[in-house]
Amino acid sequence: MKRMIKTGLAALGVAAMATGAWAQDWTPPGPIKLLIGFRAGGGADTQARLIAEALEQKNGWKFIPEQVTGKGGLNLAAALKDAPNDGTVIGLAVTETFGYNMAASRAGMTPEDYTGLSTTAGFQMGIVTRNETGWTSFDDMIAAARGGQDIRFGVMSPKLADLAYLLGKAQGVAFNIVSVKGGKAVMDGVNAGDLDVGFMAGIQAKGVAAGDLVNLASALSQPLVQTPEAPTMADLGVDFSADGYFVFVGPAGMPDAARDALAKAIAGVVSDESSKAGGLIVKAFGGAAVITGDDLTALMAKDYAEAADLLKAASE
Amino acid sequence: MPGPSRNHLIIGLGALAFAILMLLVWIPLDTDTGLIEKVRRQVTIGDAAAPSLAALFLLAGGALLVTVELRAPHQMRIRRGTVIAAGALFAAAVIGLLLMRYSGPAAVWLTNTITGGGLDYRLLRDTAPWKYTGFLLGGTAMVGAMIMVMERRVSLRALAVALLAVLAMIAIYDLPFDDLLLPPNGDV
Repeated sequence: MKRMIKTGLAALGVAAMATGAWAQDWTPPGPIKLLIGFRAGGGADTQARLIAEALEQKNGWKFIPEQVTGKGGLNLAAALKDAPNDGTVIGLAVTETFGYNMAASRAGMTPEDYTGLSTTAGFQMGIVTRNETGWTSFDDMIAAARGGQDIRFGVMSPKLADLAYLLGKAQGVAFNIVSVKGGKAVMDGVNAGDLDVGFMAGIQAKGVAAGDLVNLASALSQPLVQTPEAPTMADLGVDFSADGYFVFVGPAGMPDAARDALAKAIAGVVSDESSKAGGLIVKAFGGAAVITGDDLTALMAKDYAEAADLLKAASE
Repeated sequence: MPGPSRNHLIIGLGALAFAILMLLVWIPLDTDTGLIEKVRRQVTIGDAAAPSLAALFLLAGGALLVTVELRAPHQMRIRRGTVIAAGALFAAAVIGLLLMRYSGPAAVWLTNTITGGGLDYRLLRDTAPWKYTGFLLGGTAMVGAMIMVMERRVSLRALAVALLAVLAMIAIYDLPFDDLLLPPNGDV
């Protein structure tokens, strides 16, 4: 009996090793085109390029990065949709692209047109003001709004505009919602006094630590790591949140071996805090958040389905 | 004495036709959001706004040529030789671009036919010597043909100058950079 158990365990071990080796043994048949859905030189672009650099060094793969920006990642998604699905074309975008942005557009794309590989990091999305406003809490800002002050609320995507609208509605005030291009533009606007408050997805960390900026609330379903006492969206009466991740995706129908090998390699690099990419992710985004495989497929499908509810709520 | 020139009429009608084609066919087919986009509470400029504005300027320019400027004196004369030279330059550019795009895949197809191999140009687009095939052949053909059109004679010297120019471009734009692809390799 003992012998049978040993034989069984050995067989299981061999099977597990074989599965691992299967994914590990995959090598891209050619250079991998890496589509980057963010402007060159920003934190997200740097993240993509550092991950590619680490994978080149570690696995001997060759990456060719290419910027495909615009329309909240939909330009990237359109370029990726009909690309070869052998693992030689992948892209880095955010989950919002495959959720809200796809649901809101009429471009005929759904998350089913893509293969989710791995998330790398979540956003520490806060609702942030500058110290000079004198507001130390979200309630202070709402009191100012109720007192007649026009609150200029900076947002960098249509989804965030909807969240700002619903937040105002839940609090009984109407924000002056200003759409700008990118999180840095929101922060610049807040720092310059052109905006009173705005969404910032982690870029505010240094300013908050220095006392120049204040996280008034978390725009997530969870408290912010840096300011855990700040209320969440649910605390403020909004059923939706800005939860989201940076995500690597490929076209639909990628072979399992390619998907597993790419996901495992990306997850390995971003989770290694001693690597340049891992270090940047800790510094800029509060640490790695890795979701792969079926969990990622389910997450992308859920975001897409929930986006319809948010669109409906924001249209009322 | 020659009669009044019809050049403004020809150019104006061409501009009007192109502007109408842009407004009625090209822009509707190639944009998603119309002139303005209303996303619930916000109105923003749509994809079609800027090109539509450009087409309207073209339309206005064409209309001015066929009305106010129709019989203007001292109209530029379009000579047959000018049209032929412009056509030849255009043909040189088109042939060069076609060679640039397809000579690499054609070379791979030929190699596969001879060796019975299963190479794929897309996967070789960052591997020498394949990655230089299209740029070298297409670039040399384009620059060489343009020089020959301008010189109005066929010469090996023009081809040699074109080859040197293309090699210089490869040295400047390809050799120092790991992540940069020469045309057409970014689009295959």
